[in-house]
Amino acid sequence: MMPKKSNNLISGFLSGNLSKKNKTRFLKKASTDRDFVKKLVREVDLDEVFEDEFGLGKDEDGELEKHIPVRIRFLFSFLAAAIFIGAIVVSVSLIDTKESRLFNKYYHPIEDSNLVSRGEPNSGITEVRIGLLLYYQENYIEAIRHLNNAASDTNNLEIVNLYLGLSYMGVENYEQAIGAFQTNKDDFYALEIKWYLGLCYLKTGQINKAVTSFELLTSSKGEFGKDSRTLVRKLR
Amino acid sequence: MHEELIDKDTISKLLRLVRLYVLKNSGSIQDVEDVMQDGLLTFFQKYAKKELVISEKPEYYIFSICKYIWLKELEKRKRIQLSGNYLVEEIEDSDCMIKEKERKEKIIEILEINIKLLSTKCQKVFDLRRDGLTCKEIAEVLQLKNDQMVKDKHYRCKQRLLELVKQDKAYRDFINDA
Repeated sequence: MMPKKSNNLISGFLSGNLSKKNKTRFLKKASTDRDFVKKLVREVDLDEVFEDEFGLGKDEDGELEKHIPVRIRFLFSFLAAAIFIGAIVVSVSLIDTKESRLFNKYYHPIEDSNLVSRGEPNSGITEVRIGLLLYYQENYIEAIRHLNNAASDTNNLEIVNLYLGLSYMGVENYEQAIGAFQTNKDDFYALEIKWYLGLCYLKTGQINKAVTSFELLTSSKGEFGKDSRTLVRKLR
Repeated sequence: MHEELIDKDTISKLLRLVRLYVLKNSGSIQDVEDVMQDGLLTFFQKYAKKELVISEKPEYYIFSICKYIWLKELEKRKRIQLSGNYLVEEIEDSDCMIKEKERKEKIIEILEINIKLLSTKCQKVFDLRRDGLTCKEIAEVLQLKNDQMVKDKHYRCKQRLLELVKQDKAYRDFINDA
């Protein structure tokens, strides 16, 4: 069985999300450990089969670049949204701090989940399932109660800590949320954890820590990466 | 030091090159994996010792290492064949390709089984994509705001799926038997 650290290094490499320190670790492993390279090759192979069958394909990524009218429409929508948001920001800025404004702008409860934990799929997750359902129903207090019960099940720790942190955010208990997020050592929810942890730091006025958290996401793809780059720029 | 590493796409392209080369030159699926491991290990060793700088298309450099490794291996096998009156089993191109196809189909089958463990939305994203719909069309069907949201959703669902597959006993048995 491959140690968890090695798995995390490979996951980070595949998602293009390795920190400088981890790049050095990765290189050390890849140049000395045959099993590590074997696992790397197998994971790339699996990823390749997935991409061939279910992937989005490279051409489509460039699609927006080719269709200029869509870009123009997007630009107009963006400008309209920017003007609208700008008006809101100006009005809110009279009564709110910069950090709170940024928090309110970027904090949204997490979208959904497949209710499958990373450790043992579909086993012993009744308490987690109830906790998650309560979270989606915005019944954060009850969600916290069930997720705390589930925390004793080590197989489901990663997902429990993520949603426990999110539920604490739901009741505006940011210190407890930070505690829950920091307990999570797993990489599977790394993007979500770093993002919401950064928002908690932002809300509690720990700007340097917030910037550090968001900086870890700036190179990642998708909305977290994009929003993190904006937030880092604004907070510096 | 070591600002940039090669990325996943490079290894993916390399894997395709090596697979084609080894299978076309009397190798098996297991040989592909061995050559890839040796080639990458050699490359990373050289890179760690700063004996080379990563060029624009590193996959071709690593591929040349892999080709060398495979030719050496073939040479070794031929020597065994001559000295021990041992016939190296010649595998026809088509046989290799059939085996490769079967291997891929098995992985797809495992992926399909695990997709059923994902959320309905993830399943729909993959189904629609498999049906050939573009991200924009999927966004319309699933009533998502735009195609970027489909891409984000697809990325997250993929991460979950691959985690499930890696834990799947059927997959672990399959790669260990391959």
